[in-house]
Amino acid sequence: MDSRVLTITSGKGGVGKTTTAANLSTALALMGRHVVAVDGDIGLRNLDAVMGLESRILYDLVDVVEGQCQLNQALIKDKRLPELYLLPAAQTRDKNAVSSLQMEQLCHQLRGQFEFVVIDCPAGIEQGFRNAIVGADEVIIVTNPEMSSVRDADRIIGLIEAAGKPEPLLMINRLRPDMIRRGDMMDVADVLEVLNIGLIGLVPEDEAVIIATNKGEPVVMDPKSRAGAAFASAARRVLGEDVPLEELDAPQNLLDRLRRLISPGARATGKRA
Amino acid sequence: MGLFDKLFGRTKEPTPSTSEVARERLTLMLVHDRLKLTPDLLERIKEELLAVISKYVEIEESGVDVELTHTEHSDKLVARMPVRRQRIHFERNVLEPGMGIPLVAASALAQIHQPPASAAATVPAVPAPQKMEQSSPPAEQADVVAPAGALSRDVHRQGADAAPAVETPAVPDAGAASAATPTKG
Repeated sequence: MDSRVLTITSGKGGVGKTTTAANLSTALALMGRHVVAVDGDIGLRNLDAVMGLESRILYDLVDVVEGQCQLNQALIKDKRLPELYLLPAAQTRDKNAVSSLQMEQLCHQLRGQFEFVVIDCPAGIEQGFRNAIVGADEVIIVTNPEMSSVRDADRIIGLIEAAGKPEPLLMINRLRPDMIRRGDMMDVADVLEVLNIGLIGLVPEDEAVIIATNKGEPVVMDPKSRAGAAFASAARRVLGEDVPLEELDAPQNLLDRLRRLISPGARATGKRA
Repeated sequence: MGLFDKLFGRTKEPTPSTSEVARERLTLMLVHDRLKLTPDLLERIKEELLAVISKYVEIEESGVDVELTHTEHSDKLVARMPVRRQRIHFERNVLEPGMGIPLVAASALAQIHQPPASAAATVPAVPAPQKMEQSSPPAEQADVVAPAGALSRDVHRQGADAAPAVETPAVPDAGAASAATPTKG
């Protein structure tokens, strides 16, 4: 079994790393792959909450690394999906509790048991970030079409390259087609031109994401959610499937459609180059 | 401006959209971020460039400028180094009373007394104020004090063309010491 360790990072906080990690893991499990989601955010854990597994934590990643327990004691099996597991982070320690070497060894151990190891990287560029990428085979960078997060993503790309990892793939999250149409948000082409890496997914801003977190059910399990559908497509691309990028720009009314027909200056959104 | 806008009489000025502004600013930010060009580093680049170029060409230090410029298609590190205008300098000598008169006056006199060849001889021995000595910073001119004796400057040449380009080295120049060798021909 050729296992893959996938790290979800961003640099900037709040762009959707944890949501992406939870949903990609869930989507892969829904497609029958044996997956473990690993929360790398020691001290500020959230992957457990987004996945709805917070009440079942007994041991965590730090306990495993320190030898307080066996790996299997810390792994939480998702009751809804037989193929999905979670290795939660500690809440009362910080990111210096684990060294890069220990993290690398942990990844090696997890590779032996799982097809996919999806690591939720914390925000920042310090030890937490270094730990999350040390064992990675592939890296996905999550960004928003907004200056600060793109700037941070650029820095992260540089650090990933410096760490000798292969070229990361980009996930653009929280897109708002209405703002893009008005010219008040950078579009996909702008972001790709600046960052210049391959694209793995486009996810629109969607209230359903917050509602999903409220319920502890990753949004990819909501058939009506456009964000959920986008995460599902991204997971299929991770598996090598050639899924066309979603057309995010769905005109809402006749006036919009008419305006776009007559004003050729309107910019295309979400279209693959 | 689309037909739709024209129909409804909206004459918008082509102001850039905020996303265009964002993209411009972001591109510039990333150029700087990626180069890791701190003001400190820029200063060091400037100093080292100045040191190298100054070996070959005299540079006006106060006018040196190094900056990162950005156009739509390229980014450049641009260094501007004003070249000091070349002046003819004559070797400075210690004038003894009776030896001669200040340079400028001598040049003027030479113009009046046409014959160039024996210009040195025709210069009247008028004891003159030592104008040349005073205004120069002694520190820089320290090595140019010639042994007392005949004027070693090329008075023949001076008499010959009497070019107004001849100036007293009263302007303190950093490069004056090295340029003090008489320029012949």
